[in-house]
Amino acid sequence: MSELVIKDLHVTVTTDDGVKEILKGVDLTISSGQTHAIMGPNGSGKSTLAYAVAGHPKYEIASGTVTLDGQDILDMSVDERAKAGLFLAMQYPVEIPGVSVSNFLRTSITALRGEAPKLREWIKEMNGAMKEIGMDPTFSERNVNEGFSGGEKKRHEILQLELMKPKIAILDETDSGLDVDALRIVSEGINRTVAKNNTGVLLITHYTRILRYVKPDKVSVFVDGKVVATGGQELAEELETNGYVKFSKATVGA
Amino acid sequence: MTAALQEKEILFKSVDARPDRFASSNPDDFAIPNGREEDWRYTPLKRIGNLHSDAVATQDINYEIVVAQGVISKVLTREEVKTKFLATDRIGARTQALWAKALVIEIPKELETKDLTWIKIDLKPGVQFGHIIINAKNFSNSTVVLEQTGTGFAGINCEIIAEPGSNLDFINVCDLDRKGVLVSEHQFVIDKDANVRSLVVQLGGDILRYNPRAKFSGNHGAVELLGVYLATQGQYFENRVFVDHNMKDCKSNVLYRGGAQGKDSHIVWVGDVMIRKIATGTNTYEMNRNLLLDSGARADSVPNLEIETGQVEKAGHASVTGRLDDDQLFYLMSRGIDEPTARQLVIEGFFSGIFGEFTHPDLKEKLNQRLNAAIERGHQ
Ligand SMILES: Nc1ncnc2c1ncn2[C@@H]1O[C@H](COP(=O)(O)OP(=O)(O)O)[C@@H](O)[C@H]1O
Ligand SMILES: [Mg+2]
Repeated sequence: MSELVIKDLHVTVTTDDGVKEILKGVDLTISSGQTHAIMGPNGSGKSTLAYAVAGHPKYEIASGTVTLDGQDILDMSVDERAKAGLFLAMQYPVEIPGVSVSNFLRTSITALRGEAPKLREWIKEMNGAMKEIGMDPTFSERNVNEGFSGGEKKRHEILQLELMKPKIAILDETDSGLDVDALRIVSEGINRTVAKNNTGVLLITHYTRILRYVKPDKVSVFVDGKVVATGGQELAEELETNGYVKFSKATVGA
Repeated sequence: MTAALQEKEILFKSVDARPDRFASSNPDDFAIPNGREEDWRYTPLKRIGNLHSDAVATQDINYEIVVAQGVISKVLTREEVKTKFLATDRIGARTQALWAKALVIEIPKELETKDLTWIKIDLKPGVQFGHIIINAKNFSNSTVVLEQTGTGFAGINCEIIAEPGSNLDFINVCDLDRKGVLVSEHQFVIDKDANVRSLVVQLGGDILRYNPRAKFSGNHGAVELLGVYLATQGQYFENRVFVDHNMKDCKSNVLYRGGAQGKDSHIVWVGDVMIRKIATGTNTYEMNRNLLLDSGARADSVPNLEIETGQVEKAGHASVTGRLDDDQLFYLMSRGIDEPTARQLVIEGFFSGIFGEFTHPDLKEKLNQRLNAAIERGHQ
């Protein structure tokens, strides 16, 4: 049983116009085997939350705490957080020219598991996972995310999720840019990971569409750098009908 | 052998250096550079052991050679070699005036070999000058590797003559010890239907200055000048490339990839391509791509293309200098990969494929090993 606990998290970025506060006191708890959906309008700070927890150097923690199973992760380097069991599927996965997917995955798995996997077993494992997520095995010889379509990048992220078996996964708009078939395949990948590895999922999304395939245990509404409401599936349905207007007004008034 | 050398002499009659640039074999024709000249503005003259002013040889160069079967090699004295090599700067001319023994490699007519001809020069403390002539005779097909290691201060020039229909791969590895200084001018002369692919690999040394110049002595020749260079803390690597399209329907491809990491690492690339009025049907492309790995590293990149005829087939040039991307490092590290390994992956990725064209497996393996060793040195 694992738990990622975010308490009163304030995060800033430094821009040409000075320091800008983006997260304004976020409280969230993600537990093993649970799926917690975060829904919010564009620009509300969802990706900032994901990056800050994963440790991207652009985002500065002004105050607050983030712990994984009681351990402070804000003190850890990015790779240490991953080794502690945290995974981030990025909204915009990064291209790495000249580095093949297979080299990348093997290096990563070796780091995470603390030893190089046996070659034959590893190839079997990788090819099996690629098949399940609908990626042609030839992708293993392509450069990381280079020339991948939007959908292929997202499949590649979920492929990594399945191979890396994290305790807690943050999935940042994994659903955006996917057609219905791809959305279904990617969702099945997420559901498999939760079922097999008991991973706790923070599912960041802008639309309710993915929630037809990945059933959240909790739904939170995220507006202007913080959580403004939390409930069950019905909250998502309300957002589907009425949009974020009500919540945005609430924060303007606050 | 003498017959071959005579022929070479004839070949060189048609060869002058760049007309808008003075060329001579007499050092006194060049003023001692002070560092303000366009040609010398980047080079740290204080660190080159007076190669540019008055350093004299303290020893001869020792050429170690393994030749492919059928390839002829000789070490000859000044009296035995008559070369009309004209240098384009003072160090080139001083090297030309001061070498005592030259290495002459001849790839006989129609000899086709997959075996490598390997020249190794291990430089010694002190000052040394050398001269190499590589003559690929008609319709020969072979690969020559020049590997330079060691320390000290050295000027080494090279003439590469590709006769009609010949194919020559020439790999020039500069991997000196941390204090080594090497300044070289290489002149390529490509005859009708000849095809030269050259690659310079600069990985080790205090200062490396490489000045390759290519021109044609017949139509339909092709030359590729490729380069890989990686300077770490305090190292200075410079490449000044010149391709002179002085014949019709010739092709040139100049691709240099450079990296710099660490305080006061500095890489310089100046690429000049000249397409003369007579050179219709020219196809040329030059590209320099640099990767700076931290804020202490510096790159200068100056591509120039001068076209005197309207009838070119293709002419392009480009230069891109990028910095190691935070997002790339973050992506890799978020997958559990530690920072040094992540940096290494990105750098290896940046340089990957540049050796791909050279299909000799032993060679590729050796070059990759040297490159990876240089990348690792950069992390220490
Ligand atoms: N690196 C950055 N530099 C400057 N501003 C940023 C940066 N990252 C995010 N922001 C700003 O923070 C706000 C929230 O962005 P983001 O977290 O991407 O929102 P979301 O993912 O909810 O769309 C936006 O106004 C965005 O412009
Ligand atoms: Mg976002």
